[in-house]
Amino acid sequence: MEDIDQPLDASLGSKPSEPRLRFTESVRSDLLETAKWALFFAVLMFIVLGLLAFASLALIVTAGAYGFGMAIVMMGIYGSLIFFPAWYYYKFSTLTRQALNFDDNNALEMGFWYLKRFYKFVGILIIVVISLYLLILIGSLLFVSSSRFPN
Amino acid sequence: MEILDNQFTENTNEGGLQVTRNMKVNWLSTSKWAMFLAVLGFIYAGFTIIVAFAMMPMMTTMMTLGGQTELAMLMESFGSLVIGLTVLAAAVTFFINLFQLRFSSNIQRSMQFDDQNAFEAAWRNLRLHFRLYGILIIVGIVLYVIAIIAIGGMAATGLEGLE
Repeated sequence: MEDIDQPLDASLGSKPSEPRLRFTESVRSDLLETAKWALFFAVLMFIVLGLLAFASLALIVTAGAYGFGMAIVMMGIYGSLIFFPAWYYYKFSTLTRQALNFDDNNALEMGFWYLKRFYKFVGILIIVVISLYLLILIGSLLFVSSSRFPN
Repeated sequence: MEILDNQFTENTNEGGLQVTRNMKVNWLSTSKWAMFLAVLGFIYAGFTIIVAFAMMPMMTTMMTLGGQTELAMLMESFGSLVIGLTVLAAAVTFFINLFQLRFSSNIQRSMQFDDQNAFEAAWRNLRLHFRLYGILIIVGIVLYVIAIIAIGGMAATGLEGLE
């Protein structure tokens, strides 16, 4: 804990090249393993996406026009919900490993940007899901109370 | 320019990767979302524990009152196993989110106080978070595969018995 009497936002100021925090060997190895796991998760999500595409193709073949609509809804909603986090993890992983291998600072910046995008996406998704649950809960409570006591 | 060059030469043992302002902005945002997700995870783990210890006896009682004593006895005999597994799941959830929370608080502290130790602890905790999550997912996939094989095997023996 050196330089404790400097302003708190000193590190956030306009001196980007001041190497206070350093990417030491331990940080680099932590980042490398994190990036590898992120690639693993991304690949798993892409596999799920492929299964989803296969299922919607089967829907189109078996159920015709109705299946086509279902498939579009399924791929549109679930597909994008899976695709974006998978893509963000994939980019985070590849960019971070590229940065560590070739000492590419720009790639590292972009990698962290994608990590942020992932967290933001998942966070907003969870907020939306929780609010949907609450809405359904309130709606069903209203429905039950109105059908229990007509007028 | 000279100052910049000096810093680059100083940093050769760290491979020239440097913390930039953009990174810090992104880390700040990431850490806030990570904190939010971690708190939600803790709540989820708490709910899991409550469900394990409150719902199981309740369901057993309801089944006994409903006259399904055999089902209730089955529940009771499996009860400790189910509670044990649920507590294990809650513990894993707790640790996954503890690592995430520690990542969040450490990266924030490292940026506020230029604390290299907190910086290293943050990435160590993010790594542990990812590792535990990955192991959990691998275990889940393996259990799914085993379940599919077991169900397939049972179905096959069932068909043989019919013939």
